[in-house]
Amino acid sequence: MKVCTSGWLALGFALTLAAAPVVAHHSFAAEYGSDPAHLEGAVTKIEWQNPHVFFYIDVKDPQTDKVTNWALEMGAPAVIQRNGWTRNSMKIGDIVIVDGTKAKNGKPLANARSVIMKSTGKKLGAGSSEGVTP
Amino acid sequence: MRRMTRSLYFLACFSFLVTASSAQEGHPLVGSWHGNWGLNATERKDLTLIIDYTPDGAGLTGLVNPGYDQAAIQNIVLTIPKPTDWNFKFEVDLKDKSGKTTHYVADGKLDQIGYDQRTLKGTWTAGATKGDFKLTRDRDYTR
Repeated sequence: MKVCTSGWLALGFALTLAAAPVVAHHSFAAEYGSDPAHLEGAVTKIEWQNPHVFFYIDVKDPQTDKVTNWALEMGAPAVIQRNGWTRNSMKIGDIVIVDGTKAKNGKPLANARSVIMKSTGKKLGAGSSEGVTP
Repeated sequence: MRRMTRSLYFLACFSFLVTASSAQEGHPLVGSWHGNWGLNATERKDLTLIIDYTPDGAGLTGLVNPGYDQAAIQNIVLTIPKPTDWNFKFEVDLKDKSGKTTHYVADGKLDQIGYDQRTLKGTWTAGATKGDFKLTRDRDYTR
């Protein structure tokens, strides 16, 4: 009985550990469809974290001036660093042009394939599941 | 029995640490905020605020509408006279489409402090003109 209780406790412990990464990790096909995204906007937030780096941009509709905040997903920090990214590659307020794929659920969320820094024209691969590097 | 008690104690401590660490964050104003501002309920414009905090040196800094028309936030002050009142004030010089710069003073209150998507609501003045603004802090897709 003691062994059984300890086993359940160990299982609970393991599930607690596993829960957070499972929520954040997913397959490309599960979340993104085939609708291409081509966005230009100003960076509002950057999250350097595993398993995927996210950054957010404000995209303004030129007709209505309405702003939509898009979330863009990239690969893991280590992967995008191999594609030339550093922590200083992108900062708040930078204008970027992003190509990628929109989320299936219709939310302003996309998987980034490439990111162009508008001020310099430098193109960086996003190290994402779509896999295209510059 | 002793082993089980020890295991339960360990699990309780670990769960507490996980909860506490995920709840930790810095200054309550830090984050990216989206909402709108205007003269009345019908004439609204989208508004984005990015606020950052540097413990040593600059303190609270920020940007309004990051991008081509961005402006630095000046003199951000948060005062907490009592636990239910989180008052803040800031100033900003914004350019309109003609290039004319106007000085705005914003005064408001931070609400829903216990939530990730907390709110900033208040009023602004620019000379004799007055209006209001409403902002909500962005939720992370990763949370």
